[in-house]
This record gives sequence, C-alpha cells and structure tokens, in this order.
Amino acid sequence: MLCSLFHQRMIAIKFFASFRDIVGRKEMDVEYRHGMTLGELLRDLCSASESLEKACFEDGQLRDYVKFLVNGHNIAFLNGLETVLKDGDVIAVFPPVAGG
Amino acid sequence: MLKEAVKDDDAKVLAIGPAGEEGVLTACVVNELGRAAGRGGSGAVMGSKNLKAIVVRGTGSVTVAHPKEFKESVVKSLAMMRENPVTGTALYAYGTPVLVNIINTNGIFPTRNFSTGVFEGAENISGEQMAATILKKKTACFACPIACGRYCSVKAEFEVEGEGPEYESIWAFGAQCGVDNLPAITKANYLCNEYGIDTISMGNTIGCAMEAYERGLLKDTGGLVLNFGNTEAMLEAVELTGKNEGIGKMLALGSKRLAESVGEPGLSMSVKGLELPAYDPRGVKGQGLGYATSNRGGCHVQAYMISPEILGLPEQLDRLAIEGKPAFVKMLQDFVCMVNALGMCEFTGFALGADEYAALLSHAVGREYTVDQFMEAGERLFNLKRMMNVAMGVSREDDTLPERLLTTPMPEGPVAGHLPETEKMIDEYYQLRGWNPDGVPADEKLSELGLLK
Repeated sequence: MLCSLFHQRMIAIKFFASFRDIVGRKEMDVEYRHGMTLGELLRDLCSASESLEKACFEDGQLRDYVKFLVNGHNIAFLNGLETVLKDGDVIAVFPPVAGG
Repeated sequence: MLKEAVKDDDAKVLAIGPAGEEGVLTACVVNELGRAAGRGGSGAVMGSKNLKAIVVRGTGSVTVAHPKEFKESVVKSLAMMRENPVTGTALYAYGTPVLVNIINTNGIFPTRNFSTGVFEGAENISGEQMAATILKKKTACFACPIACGRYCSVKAEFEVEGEGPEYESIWAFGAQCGVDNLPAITKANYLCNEYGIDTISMGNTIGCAMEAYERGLLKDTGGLVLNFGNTEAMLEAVELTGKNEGIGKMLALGSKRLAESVGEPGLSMSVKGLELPAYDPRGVKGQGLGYATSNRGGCHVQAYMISPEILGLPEQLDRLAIEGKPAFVKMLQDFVCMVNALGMCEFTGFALGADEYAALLSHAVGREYTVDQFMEAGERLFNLKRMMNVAMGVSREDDTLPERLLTTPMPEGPVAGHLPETEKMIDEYYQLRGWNPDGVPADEKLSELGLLK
C-alpha cells in the first residue's frame, strides 16, 4: 500500500537512430498523467524541441514512415496519436528505416 | 593471382573459398568487391565441379534499344530514389543493422534458436552501437546511389577489418547464438567472408547446435563448449566449418542434417532445408507464408513482407492479420522474380514500383512491357521455379514452417501467444496461384503462362 502511494508513475520513451541525435539521449522518462494521450505527450516534447517537431511532423501530420510503438505495438493499430497511455508504458520512436 | 594468370589487372573475379573447396553445403560465392551470392550453397555446387573461380574481362559496350527513353527512365527512377526517405536517406545513414532495434522492439528478433523473439542484448549489437564504435566507412556496390554497405574495424580482442556485418549476419551470430558482443560477431562475419560461407545458415546452424548441446543431444563436439553466449566457441565453430574439420564436419551439413543426426529434427529452424533468417514469423504472419512458399526455402527476400508488415512500405499492413496476406505474398514473389531477373537490387523496390521497372525493361530491350505483362513475366518465373521443385518432389507438405514455430506460441513480448497461422492461408494462396490443393501448378495456369508444350 505504502509502495503504491509513493510510486512515481512514469512513461518511458526510447529513441532510435537519428532521433537519438535530435534529442541527445537514448531514452527519457516523463511523469504519467491520468488519461494522457500519445499526441499530448508528443506535443509537450515537441514544444521544447523544434528539431524534434520537424522530425515527427510535416504540415501538422505525422511524417511518412516515422514509427511510434507503444509496448511494441504500432500505433497505427492502436488509436494513433489518440492512443491513451497507461502508467509504465514504453514508447519507442523510429525514423524511416529499412534493410533486409 | 588469377588476374596475373590472365595478364589483365582490369579482370574481375568471383570465387569460392576453402569452404566451397571442402564441400561445405552452406558455402557461397563471393566477388572481389565483397558481395556474396550467399544463400543456397552455390559455393558447394562450384566446389563439387572443381570450379574455383570465374574471371571475366569485358571489352565491349552495353547497348540498349531506345537509349534516349532509357536514359529518361533512369533519370526519373534515380530522382524517385533520392526523394524517397528510405532509399534517399535512411539506408545510407544507418545501413541494414539499424533493423536490430526495431525488429527486437516488435518482439520478432529470433533469439537462441527461435526460443523467443526478444533479445535482452539487442542494443549492444545494434546499428546505433555499430555507428558509435566499430564503423569505419560506408560503402556502395558498383554505381549504386543507395550505398547501404558498412565497413567495420575492430581493435584489440577479435581484431579484424572488412565488409559488414549486415543485419542478417549480426542476428545470426548475435541473438540466434545468444551473443551480444558486436566485435565477436564482426569477427564471425569476417571469417565467413574469408572461408566463403553463408552467414545466415552458419549462425543459424550454430544456434541449432548450441540448443542440441545444452539439451545433451550433441555430445561429441571435440571439447567445444557450445553453450549459448559462448563467443569463443562460436568463432571456433565457424573456423572448423570452413576447414571441414572436427565438429565442423557436422555443422557443414547445415541445421537440418545436424538436427536429424541428434534425433531431434524439430531443432532445425529451416524451410525446405534452408535455414531461416532474422524475423520470427509468429509475429509477422505474411512473412511466415512467404517463408513457407519460397522456392528456395527459408528465405526472407523472395517475399519481403517485413516491408509492409513492419516498416510500412509501400503501405502499412497489420502484421498479425491473415486476411489479404496470400494475395500480397503472391504479388511480392512475382515482383521480386522480375527485380532479380533485371539484375537490380531489391532495395530499389523501396522507392520504385512495377511502372518504373517495366519502363526500364521496355526501353532496354525494345519491346513494350505493360505493368500487367511485367507482373505476368514474374509469375511465369515463379511457376517455372516451382515446377523445378515439383520435379524434385516438393509438394504441400514442404510449404510449411518448423514445428516449433507452428505449435509453440511466442512466449513473451508484444506478440506473446501468437502463432504464424500459415496453414490457414495456404489454400487461398494455392487458389490465387492456380495450383491444385497439393501445391502443383495446374495445366490451365501453365498453359496461360506459356509454360506448357
């Protein structure tokens, strides 16, 4: 009970490839707020970083091929930027990548 | 030496290595620019014919039927590749190793002989880690505007310098063997290049041997402690395979024969005897069908469904759905047959479509190919290969995946609980192909394609 009272509720964001150069780190934790969506979280982050905003969006839309995964699930098959986050979620952000 | 023999420094060479000479079944053919025809044992075929190398010197010129129109098509295609974020930027910037993290995050990075799809050491062997540590320069094949190649240099322990490793090789000697040491993986890749061995089949087979060893099924290893994660043993296993000595004689036969010899055929992660590559089909169901129906067996590039199912190219498909996948797999297989037949790299297909390839082909040969005719020619090629397989006894029972993947749900990660569902798609796939329920092309289809006398 005490543990849950003092547990700081967090969302982890992991950045990959060029996103690491843009934000200057591999990952960061942000405080979880009840009902927060991925879009809200992303707008908070982008308001502090113009280069991140430019890497994620073009004309207000998510750029083609930029991938957001929540707990390993592509948000295209969740609820896109309206995906409601949960305490402890892990978000992964990838630029366009390919290979074979 | 070979250039001296023909007294021409401009001659070009492709050759087999010691592995091909020794009859290692996973031996490949490598050209002097560091590129390999890696899969399927072509090095063993050359070796069996006592053919060490092919040396060529071109002296003529290449002509096309419609030079002006051909050049216009080339210029247009190059512009499309430059403007595309994948072919214009991403593949040059990161190379194929950048896939390690995204494939692992999706939970489909086969680990320790496909026992799971999540590798705890992925970050240590990622493209990002390579760029920060051992990457020396970026390289390109002849005249290629993409330049996805990586050339790495390792100092101190595992000291080595050369081409690669690519994503598949990193996986094969990494997660598949439980190894998270990128310098050691680079050394294993280098040894395969030197001996002339397919890195995918080599790493996959060592992973199979490691599981057999840990389960007490493989005992006579000549003292090699083949536990998952043992980098020294992994490197020694590659050396012994290249020389066809000791335990290497067994590894040289590939995972199928290795698993059969220890009494557990199900340990071989292969299709039609060819070792599977670096994507677990339990979490990419179209790719699973692509593996199962690939004419050469466990190969990802005959229908690279990772592109639509994971990367979102050319469109994002639901990787866990099976609806519509048979049609997509068929289309990609036919398309890839043509990209290969044109002698072009499949990576150009991230930016170009059948329209562009059909235009290039039409202007090169002077015969108009519509997109439909282009795709039909691909279908003809695919069926021709299938008929060769049918003549060798291949049928429906071979169009499948290893039993482990079919029956054991993914144990953890984002696709926990999933199976490939290949059997649910195979009938629709055969119907779309015009094949009978046993997977044999019907006479009507062969006649339609001009393959029946």
